[in-house]
Amino acid sequence: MSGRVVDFSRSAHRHVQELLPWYLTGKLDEGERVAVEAHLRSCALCQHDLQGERVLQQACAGATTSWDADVGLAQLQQRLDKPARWWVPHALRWVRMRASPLWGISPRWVGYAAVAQLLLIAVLGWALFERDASAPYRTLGAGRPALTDPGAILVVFDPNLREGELEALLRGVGGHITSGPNEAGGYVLVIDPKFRASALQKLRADRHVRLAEALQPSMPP
Amino acid sequence: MLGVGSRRTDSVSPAGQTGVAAFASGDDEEQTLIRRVVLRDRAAFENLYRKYFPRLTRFVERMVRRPQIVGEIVNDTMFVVWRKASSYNGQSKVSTWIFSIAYRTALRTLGQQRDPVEWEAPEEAAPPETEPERSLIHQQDRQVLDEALLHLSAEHRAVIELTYLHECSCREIAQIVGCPVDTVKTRLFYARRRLRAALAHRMGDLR
Repeated sequence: MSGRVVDFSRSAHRHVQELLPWYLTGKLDEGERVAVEAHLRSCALCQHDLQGERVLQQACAGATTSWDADVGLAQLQQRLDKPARWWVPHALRWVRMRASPLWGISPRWVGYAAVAQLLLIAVLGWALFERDASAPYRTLGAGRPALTDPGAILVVFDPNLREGELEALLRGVGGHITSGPNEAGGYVLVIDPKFRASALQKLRADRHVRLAEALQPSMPP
Repeated sequence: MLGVGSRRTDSVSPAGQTGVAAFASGDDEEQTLIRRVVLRDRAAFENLYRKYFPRLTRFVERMVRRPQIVGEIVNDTMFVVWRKASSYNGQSKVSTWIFSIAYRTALRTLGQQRDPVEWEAPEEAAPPETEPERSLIHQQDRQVLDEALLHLSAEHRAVIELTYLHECSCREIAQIVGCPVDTVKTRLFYARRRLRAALAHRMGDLR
């Protein structure tokens, strides 16, 4: 037991005070009304509060306003005639609600700008998809296709070959390195298959090249 | 109660006090209108619109305190009624259903507003009473009340409005604002304390 003393008369008093507005407007059920009236007979404070409730109700009761139902109805009827596009107002409302406090610009323009941005993203996404469909993605490490290239040549260079000499050599045969070096120090060079034979000759004749071998058999003439 | 027509009149509460208008609910008639709206009956919708327009504008303007968005919220509410009439299941009053839509629409629209509250007392129709002094007192009370309401949240203002002007029961308010009955009582209790403090000059020392 907590030993706390519950003041029932106090909670009943609070309960009646909460119900006084609805007692005044006649919106209590029978049991509540009887309980309130019983309490009112013995509680001077609640009797006083009831008078205060009357003043409050009178103050709230005034003010008949001058809004024009015809104008409102005419505006609404235009909306009733339009086909339902439920997502447009919801999308605009969602964007305006989140964006406008951040940017401090007109909520209406934020909505229009966001819709335009969405359309632009959709168009760019579609264009990107179309381009990707015709151009398969290949990573830098994807060396496998080079080995099967009909113009691929395995080359082992002299370790003392300088960068400038390598560049001149590659330019001379019209090729480019696609992978390497492997464990034996070999590089895969890809050349236009039409010039593979002449490139092999040049490479083998160069003093900086220790090995030059085609990786694919010769193409039939 | 919410089943109040567009006319206003005085009524006598159980405590014998003359209060705000209270009419017969007319819920059967409104349910018939809703059924016709489901069938896309424009005349029925216009009837329902005119019936609810005064109550909705009053409720929304007191709740949001921004006159520039009141019309938009009311029309958004009635547009939902037009579109979703078939979802009304008859388990609550038509008025409870429509006001719950208005309440949610108002809160959602308020969430999009960045402007501070700019409230000017709406242009009011001439009060029915003929006694100038009494009319002046009520007008002063309303101005004080309007200022005090500005310091409450929209949720608290909604409960005040539904209780005192629309004379909804606590259970109806709970359905409209979508929270437990005890929460409605607590909200109203807190809001009353604030408003009564503002009107203390008329109530004596009720702080």
